[in-house]
Amino acid sequence: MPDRILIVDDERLVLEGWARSLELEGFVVEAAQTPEEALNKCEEHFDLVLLDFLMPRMNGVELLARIRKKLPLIRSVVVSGKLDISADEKQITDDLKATVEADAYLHKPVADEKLVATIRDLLAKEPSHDWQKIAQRVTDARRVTLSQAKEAAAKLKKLRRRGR
Amino acid sequence: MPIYFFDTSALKHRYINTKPHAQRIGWLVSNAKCECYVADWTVLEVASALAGCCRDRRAGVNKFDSMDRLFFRDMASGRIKVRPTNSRDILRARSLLRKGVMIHRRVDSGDALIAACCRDLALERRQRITFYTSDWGLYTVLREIGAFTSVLKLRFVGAPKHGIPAET
Amino acid sequence: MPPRSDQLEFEASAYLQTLIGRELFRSEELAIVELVKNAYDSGATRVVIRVRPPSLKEPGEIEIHDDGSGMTLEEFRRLFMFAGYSERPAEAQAGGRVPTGEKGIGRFASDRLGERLLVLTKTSSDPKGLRVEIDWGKFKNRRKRFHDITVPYSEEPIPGFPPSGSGTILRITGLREPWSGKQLESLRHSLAQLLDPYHRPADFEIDVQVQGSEVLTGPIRQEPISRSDADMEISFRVNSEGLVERRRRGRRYPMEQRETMHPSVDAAPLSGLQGRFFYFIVRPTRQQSKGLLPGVRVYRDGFRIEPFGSERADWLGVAEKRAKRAGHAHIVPSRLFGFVTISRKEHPDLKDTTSREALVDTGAARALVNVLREQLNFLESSIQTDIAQPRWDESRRRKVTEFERAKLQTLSIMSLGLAHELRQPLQSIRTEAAVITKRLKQLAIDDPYIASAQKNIDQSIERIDGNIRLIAAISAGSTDDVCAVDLAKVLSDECQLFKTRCAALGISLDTELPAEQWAELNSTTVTAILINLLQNAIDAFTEVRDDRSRRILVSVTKQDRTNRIEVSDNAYGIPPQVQGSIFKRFASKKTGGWGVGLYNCQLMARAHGGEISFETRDRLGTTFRVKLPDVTSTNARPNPDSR
Repeated sequence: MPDRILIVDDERLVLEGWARSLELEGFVVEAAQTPEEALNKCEEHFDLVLLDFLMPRMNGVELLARIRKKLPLIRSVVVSGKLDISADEKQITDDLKATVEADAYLHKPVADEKLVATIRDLLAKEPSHDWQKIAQRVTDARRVTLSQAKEAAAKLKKLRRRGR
Repeated sequence: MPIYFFDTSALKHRYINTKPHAQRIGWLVSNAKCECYVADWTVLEVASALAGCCRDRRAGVNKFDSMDRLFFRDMASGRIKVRPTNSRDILRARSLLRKGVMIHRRVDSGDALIAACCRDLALERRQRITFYTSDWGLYTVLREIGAFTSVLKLRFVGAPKHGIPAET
Repeated sequence: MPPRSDQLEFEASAYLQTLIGRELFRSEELAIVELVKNAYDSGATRVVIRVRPPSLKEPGEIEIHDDGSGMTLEEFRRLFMFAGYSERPAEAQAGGRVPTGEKGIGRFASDRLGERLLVLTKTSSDPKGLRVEIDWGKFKNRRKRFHDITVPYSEEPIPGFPPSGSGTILRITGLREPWSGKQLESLRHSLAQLLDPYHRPADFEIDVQVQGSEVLTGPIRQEPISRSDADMEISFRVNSEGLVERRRRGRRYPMEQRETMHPSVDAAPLSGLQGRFFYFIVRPTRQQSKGLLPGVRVYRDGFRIEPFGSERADWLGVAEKRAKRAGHAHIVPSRLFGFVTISRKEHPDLKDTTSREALVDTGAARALVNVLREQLNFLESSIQTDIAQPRWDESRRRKVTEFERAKLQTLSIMSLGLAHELRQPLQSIRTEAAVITKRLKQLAIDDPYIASAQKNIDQSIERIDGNIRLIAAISAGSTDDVCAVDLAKVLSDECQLFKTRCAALGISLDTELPAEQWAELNSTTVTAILINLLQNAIDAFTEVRDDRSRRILVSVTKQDRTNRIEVSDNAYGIPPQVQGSIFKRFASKKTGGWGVGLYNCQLMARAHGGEISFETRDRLGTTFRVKLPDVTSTNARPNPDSR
């Protein structure tokens, strides 16, 4: 069974590019341009979600939290523009993992090879069997993950502003 | 720290609020001085139990969701820990079922898996664990199998029958 | 005249006296000033004012004693008792004083001061004097007619006057004011206004004696404004040829400047006239202005001429000029103090009209106004060049800095959205290029050209992204935050971004950087300056036509707390004619410039306490040196990770 990937971005151009690329790689891809669309699609199962974290017209942080509530086992790849010279991907990925539990963080514009490799790596790994985590994503997603997610977004904004 | 293990039939009392058991189970679950476990299979079975309760009481899905939410909260907060089952447990469960045939008793496959999981935990932790169940059939069968009685303290949640004590 | 049957006559009520007496004087000090003027008019050389302030034990008394010409009975009747009449036939007389008192009402000034007046007056020709007792209270009766009020008099010798002496004593009792210390001080101050601070009248002295107070007793002197207090002083005199010699001094001008100018009018009749203007840039304190009121005053022989000194009269049009130019005239009237000295002897043509509200319009009077106006113009232009202009320049510079900062802030606000906007299409391009390659592969077209084309697209996108990052880094940062920065890493990262651009142009970009160099800096400043210098270095090679191996070297060192960054190139160097102005605004740049310009870089470096300098050699290359000291103020923050 091919893995199912949900991609979310407010820009059609970007969605189409990713969809084409990932379909050529053999994944089943669904695209959503708005949060409502994304959440509706989540009634079906997805193995991985690819979304832009800091879209101007959408709160990517909150969206991810809501998606996880519906699909607690979903892996997430967060892509966003990198604004500073010094902070590296790994550092921000680790920061985010601690708060919003994004599984991977990539910088836009991401090279196709890198994106595909990251996705394949994540899908190869078993989804989390940590029931406590799963339960948390399902229940307190509203309270715990959301607020943490908001904290993470604020922290990211602050990091950008300081150019670090 | 004492470890308690619940099967679905015992645990469900907490969420469907059967008196007087709900209180007892609740007390155990909320007690920070002990660890409470369920098998991952219970995560599925609880849904079935809650669904049955809703049908009996002719309640709607909202009631289901609210009971279910309580369960997930227990999991999320860590009051109830979920132990995954594995192939070892499956094999152990199969022998339990076979044992059931030998003593002419019926054992449900899900119950067997849960019991096996509990036993596995006890062996892993090298500690006697207290196993709670409200399934009379399961309780009486387990009482007769040395592999279980040697590592588990069995407790029946409910009124025992036929003069058999609730605690083994 | 017997009343005619067809004519009606006006009659005046005795109360008229009160109206024209007491009520005509704004204050009791001015009443005394009026009486002193009268004494001056009568040719006195000394006026003594004795005040005994009223107390519980004794009623008060004011006595004004002058040694003027005095009055005979006949003169008294004619001059004093005839209300509203003033006889000043002798304006034109060269020898006599020009009268300074108000017309015909001075006599009633004493009513303002007290209920009763005793006049003792004697001329030199008469051994006996005149004694008149006036009770102003009698005039209060409205029903009584003016001319029905009588006052008793007698002719007798007056103690205190020798037989050949002359003078007048006015003794006022029934005082209307308590004459507190403050009032007496104010009186002294008002009297001082009558006297020229720079040329004390040789033949007139005012003495005030207050019983029971040493502090308030003594001759009246007006202190002059000290040159060292004023920001500007223009002093001038008209010489015998009618030329104006003037000097400019003051706090603003440590070096005195002298010159002689030709006034636009014939100023020969003004020969001997002296004057000085003082100007204060900010309102002077009382100490500095010596209690003088602003305005230009004229003094004749040491005594002030009215109304030219009054602050009400803008006779030189200073305030008018300012009003017309809506405040752009540089002289603020309240900060200008002028003192002009003329004399009867030297300037007989400057005389008062009978109304004494203006000088008679003679050539000399017009010349006076012109000369003074010209000196004021000179003062004004001095203010403009030496004070106003530099202030405007300073404020304009400040505005420029603020504007740059505002620009940066706007960029910063825009940059976040802009960066996102730019990145979306970049992402699309990148992905779709990969899609094309993948699809072609699927169609069994796996061609090295395609692979390499895709690689180039990728690299180009990296480059664009790098530039976006740079813009965002500068505009997102502020120039104020200071934190611990590893300069070596910052420079290394930036050079990394420029390396591809350089490689495309055949320039090798090398770095000589330590493993790390920590500094307390504003990273935005460093980034912006470095980008600019690197871009300049790259641009410098566009002119190079020979096949030298092109090289740019970036290095950083630290000495004590100063960080030194160097960017060197081996292009053709900076041509000498441009060298002097590369740090100036709008210096033309051949390549149009990227980044914020050397002018701004220098500003930023200087704001940081540092400096940018350069060394260039013809045909051999240029080295820019940036000196940036660590910021050690208390504002400097530690590494933000520790926040």
